[in-house]
Amino acid sequence: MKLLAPFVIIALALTAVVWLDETPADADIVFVNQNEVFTLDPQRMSYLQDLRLAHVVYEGLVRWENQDFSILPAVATALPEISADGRRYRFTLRPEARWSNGEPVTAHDFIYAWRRAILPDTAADYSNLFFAIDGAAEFFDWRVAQSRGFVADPFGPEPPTRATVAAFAKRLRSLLDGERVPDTLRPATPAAVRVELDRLESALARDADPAGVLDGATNLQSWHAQLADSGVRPLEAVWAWERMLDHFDQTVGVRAIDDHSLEVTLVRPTAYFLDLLCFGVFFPVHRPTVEGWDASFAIPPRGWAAVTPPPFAQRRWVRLSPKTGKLEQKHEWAKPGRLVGNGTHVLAEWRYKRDLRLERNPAYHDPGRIRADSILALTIEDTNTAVLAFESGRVDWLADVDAEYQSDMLAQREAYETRHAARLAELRAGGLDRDAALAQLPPPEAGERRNIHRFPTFGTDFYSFNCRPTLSGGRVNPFANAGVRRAFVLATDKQVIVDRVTRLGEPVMTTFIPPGSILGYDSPVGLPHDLNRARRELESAGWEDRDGDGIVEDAGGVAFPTVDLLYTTNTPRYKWISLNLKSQWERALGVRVELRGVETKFYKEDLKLGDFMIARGRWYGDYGDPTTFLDLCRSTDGNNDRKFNSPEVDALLDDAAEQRDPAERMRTLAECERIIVQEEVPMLFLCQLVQVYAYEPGRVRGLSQHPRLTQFLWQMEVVDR
Amino acid sequence: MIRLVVRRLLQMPLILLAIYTITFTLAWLIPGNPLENPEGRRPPEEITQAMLEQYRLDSYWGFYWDYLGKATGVSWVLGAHPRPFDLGPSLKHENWTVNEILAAGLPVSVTLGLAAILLACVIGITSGVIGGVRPGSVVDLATLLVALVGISLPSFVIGAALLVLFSVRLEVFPIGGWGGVSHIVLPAITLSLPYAAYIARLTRFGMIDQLESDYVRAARARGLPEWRVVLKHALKNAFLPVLSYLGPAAATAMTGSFVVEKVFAVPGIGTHFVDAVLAKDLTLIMGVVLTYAAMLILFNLVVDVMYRWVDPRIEL
Repeated sequence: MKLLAPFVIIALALTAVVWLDETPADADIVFVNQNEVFTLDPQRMSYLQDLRLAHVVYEGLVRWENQDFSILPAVATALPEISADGRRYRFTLRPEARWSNGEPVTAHDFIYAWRRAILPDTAADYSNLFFAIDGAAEFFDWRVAQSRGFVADPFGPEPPTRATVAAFAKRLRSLLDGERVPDTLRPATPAAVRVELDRLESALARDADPAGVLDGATNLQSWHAQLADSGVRPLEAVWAWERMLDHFDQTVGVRAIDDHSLEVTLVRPTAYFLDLLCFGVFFPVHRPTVEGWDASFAIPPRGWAAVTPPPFAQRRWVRLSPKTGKLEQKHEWAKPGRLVGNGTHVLAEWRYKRDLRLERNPAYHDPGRIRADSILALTIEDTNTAVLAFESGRVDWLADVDAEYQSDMLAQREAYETRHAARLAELRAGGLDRDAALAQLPPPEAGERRNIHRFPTFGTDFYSFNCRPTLSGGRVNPFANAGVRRAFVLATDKQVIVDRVTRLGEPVMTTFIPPGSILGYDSPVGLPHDLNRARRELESAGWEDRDGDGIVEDAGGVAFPTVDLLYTTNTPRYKWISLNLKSQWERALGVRVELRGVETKFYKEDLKLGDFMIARGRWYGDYGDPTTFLDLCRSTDGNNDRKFNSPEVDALLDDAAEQRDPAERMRTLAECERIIVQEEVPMLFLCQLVQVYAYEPGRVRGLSQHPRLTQFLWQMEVVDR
Repeated sequence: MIRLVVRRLLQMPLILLAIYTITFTLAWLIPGNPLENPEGRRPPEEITQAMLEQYRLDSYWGFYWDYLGKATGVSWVLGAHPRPFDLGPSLKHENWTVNEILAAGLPVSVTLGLAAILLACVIGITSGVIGGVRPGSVVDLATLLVALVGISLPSFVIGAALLVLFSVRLEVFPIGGWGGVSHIVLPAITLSLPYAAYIARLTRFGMIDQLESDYVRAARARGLPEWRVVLKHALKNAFLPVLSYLGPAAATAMTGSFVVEKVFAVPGIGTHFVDAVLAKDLTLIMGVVLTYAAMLILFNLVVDVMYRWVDPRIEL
């Protein structure tokens, strides 16, 4: 009996716990998130599953029509008036637009969100997209310098560097001559300090040794000690923060003319600016929510902008670090019950790695647009379980079928379509779209299916060539020569890879930009598969098989170095592709290739250090302009892993940035892409990435097929659920 | 016994500190930056630096002491932090704190683990007793076979097979997810099988051993019914090795199984832990490891106490 007692107790406790836990209620649309949402803070977003929700929880000034990616007004009443020089945009906001708590959506909300995104303190991945706005890049640098000055300690144990001293001098100058400086931040001996600071600044201007100048600066040192006091630092942080706010208003080209008119000035006419505004990171946030203003703080009917914000002590999620002077933000506000949005739906429930539920936002200004009252996202990380959940009917839409048997599922779809090809063509000719036509056909037999769909995306799969003059450790890099790169591209049969290796039927590409994805832009044609030309290119680059051993050598008889091919092991895809490339190149070119499969983190590290000859890569475009891809080939770009450096490409990108005539600009960019894909080839472009969806055709409606592949959940509906 | 409990409880913080130090050092050495996306766009250098500073990821000792202070509640006692036992925000899923993640995931893993252990005991002890009473019989061989399958088949195979059979074909249980009794059955069965197999073997050998001992013979000689001999006398002693196995087994089962949680989409801490390691989510790694370690220590203590309770002759 003794033995049985604990088991009975445990069993009873279990029943109680399980009983208490509720099953998620059903919803009008159920879909699967393969990865948990990372953040619902739009300015911090960069993952696909996050951005998908941004379009439902928030709403920007304008939005895409996701069938053709033209631009429609959203919070704005109409498309903006654009000045003759193309730099000034004026938006009028809908007076009836509301936050989900009933407060009005105003121009200040946008300015606040954008300032947040630009501010280095927020660490937004996409802050550089905002640099299209006049003064934004300067403002970013200004704040970085300000923060550096705050922590600069030229009198510390470390010997001061020039940068430290310069930042320090800048900080003291702004405190000495600045506005509204509290007395505790002022020096005890202003006159003496001024003399020393002048001396320091002129020494810096002369490029003199900064350490020497600081030696005799006893007044500066005592002022610095005064500022370093733990009671004084928070004061300076607040003061610096307020200077930042002033500086933003003065330098950055966004201005609220009134609560419902917003004027944006750009650095230069940016043809794709409106397209950028449709991107999630430009969506507004509700300031009192994001900062966690105390609930007792009354917000007037005109909105939060009409009052002075509460002091930092009464803001729950933000604080100014007395150590660094930076704004530290917590993101715990993005939770049900706290999050205030202005989109079609509100966050009703969110359980970590479990489910996320959205419900119709009663305050949304255009309720007629919303198709589904409730949307449920289930987090199912196991791809096989996700497919089973779909098969069982629990899930309506699977946006990411990447089970290992996905290619077999696509083959079953192929078989179904082949059998009904004639009838399908007939129905399509009758004006039905593909899904509706499929729904009309008789149900699939064993070994067939019609609920799997291949969608090309706004992304390109490629392999990078290391373009640095030498490899790590000073070794010779044969791929620094564009001729060698061209030879490898010409020697690659891409069709074989998509047909037999990946078996997903991805559209093969010779260019960087997915075809037909950008309105008004046509990519040039890149290098074909041509073995003879490949060998000729290699020969003219100096590599020939001189001793008949099947391996190419240079003029000095030194064999082509073994090609170090780097790929990631997180999915089997790249292992198989890399193996195939290896055999193709070894056969066609007479080189030896060694595969090096590593975990994603090591891969990223190796890319940064340039420790590879060829490495797999991929890129998804963010906005509807060729530069979203081509900028990757700019010599100064932070994502240029290849360290590809072509003055010609840089110059064309610069030219295009200044061109006003859209057609001419697109021609310049096409010329730039031509150089990239025909001459310089810093990458081997393989294919357009595809996404495999699962849904019953005809039952799930409102999906877009456009290659920029953006789905709006508010536009989707499930019939006969 | 009180002495033992007190001594163990006093040792606990020291063991936890050692585990914290070792785990933190290992996790720190994982390459990469947890605040960066593994693929795609890289933010500007200044931004990366700013984030590292904000989360104290720019210095080993800075993070070590800061986190230790907040997690133990020392910072709270000193008035430097508003909450005790704050395991920090998740570095990867910034809308969540580690405390929230553990609060949501731990009950799930514990429930599933307990159910699995319970099931394992029922299956294991029953088949062990049956097998032990008649060693070499057909029934014994059948239980041996089941035990072999339970130990050697990986859970992702069993799990997927159960899903296909019971959820897709028969539609008796839901596919994955959590909430309600129906969600717990399949994952609990999958999770319990290896434990059940081990328990069955332990019980069987224990029973064979005990049934040949003198006191059992004496009991039989006194004319006690066979079921009483087996269940009241022999089983009690045969159960001791099972009991010592149950402590660590319960702790492992309750801190979540990565595979079972993944296959059945169960939101427990097993998956969180593996994902955290892969993403170098330091705060989440530390939170899960510390919780796991504390549970393991406590369970071993509970087992020791139960030992004494089952068999008062055992000195502690």
